[in-house]
Amino acid sequence: MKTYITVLLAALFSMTSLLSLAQKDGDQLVGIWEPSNGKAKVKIEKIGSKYYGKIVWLKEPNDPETDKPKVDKNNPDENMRSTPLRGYRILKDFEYTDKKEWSEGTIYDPENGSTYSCTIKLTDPNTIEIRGYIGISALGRTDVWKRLKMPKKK
Amino acid sequence: MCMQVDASVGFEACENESCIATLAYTDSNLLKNYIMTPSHRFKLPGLLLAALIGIFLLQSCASTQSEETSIEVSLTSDGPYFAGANSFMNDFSVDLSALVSSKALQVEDIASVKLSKASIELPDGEELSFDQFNSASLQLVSDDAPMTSFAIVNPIPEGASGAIDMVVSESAEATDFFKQQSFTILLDLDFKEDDYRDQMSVTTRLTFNVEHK
Repeated sequence: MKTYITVLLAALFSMTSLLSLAQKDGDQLVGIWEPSNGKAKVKIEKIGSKYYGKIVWLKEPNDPETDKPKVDKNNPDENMRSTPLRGYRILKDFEYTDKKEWSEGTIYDPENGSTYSCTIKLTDPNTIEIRGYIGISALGRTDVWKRLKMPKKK
Repeated sequence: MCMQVDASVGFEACENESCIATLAYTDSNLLKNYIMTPSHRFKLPGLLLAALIGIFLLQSCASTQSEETSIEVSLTSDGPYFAGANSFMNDFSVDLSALVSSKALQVEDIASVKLSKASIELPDGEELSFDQFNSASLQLVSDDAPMTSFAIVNPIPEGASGAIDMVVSESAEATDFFKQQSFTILLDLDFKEDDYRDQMSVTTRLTFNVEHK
């Protein structure tokens, strides 16, 4: 009986450790990232068990036409077009798949108001490949984002 | 929704909310006259069409009812807060048995849930003012449904106090969220300046239109 309990506890401990490791691996995505065009900085955070990325900095924060902070003027939903772009979550619902990849998510392009399926791959600790696509992954485009290194506290 | 159909023969569908169809022939010979009188024979297809539409509406009305339900949730966030969007959130447990007043719902009874009104209010007694914020946007999020934006207020009116109404999305569906045991309500408040408080809270009142069997 004692052996059974020991085996059960060991199995439970191993499962908990594996889950915790997977969770830690998934959290490597958390941070501030810069797309290759340098137009924005995106903060990826975890909400619940999924990952989301919001714009925290824009190279051109104001709309040249209105000289006011940029808003989501191409949103297909007319009522939501006053949503500010700074703070907008363009990456949504990413789930970690345990191979340094996050899938099942979407990326929103504020320049045309379109949402695409998206996968994220961590190629090194400070680089991710973001692939947006329509339907199948082959029909898409990949962009390389670099992690923004925060200055260390003195 | 229920509609009144008043065809030329007095066919009336969906009376009030009970949606009971009543055939009210104002003249017992009317149908006969319509069919038999050569000058009115051309109206027969129209009569049949009206009857079909009536049956369709009757079926639609009988299958779903619509009710509004409101929830009030306090959303919190830990500081410090830096200029820009800061997230306030709280979980909401779905109690289908108490969601609408007319009956205890099951998951399969829910046909559609849409947000119809949203407002936010700052708590009394704390030195907080809406003037500290540029805008506020409301999302729902859960492990089993994609994050969806439901309402926005931008800019927050200067000097606003009490409850502020938000502009509600015309297309966002909350149905999938209410088919789960719980979901998270997330409010992004765009701070004008850094604020070093430890914690803040905001109350949100949401009214949903629930269509159910």
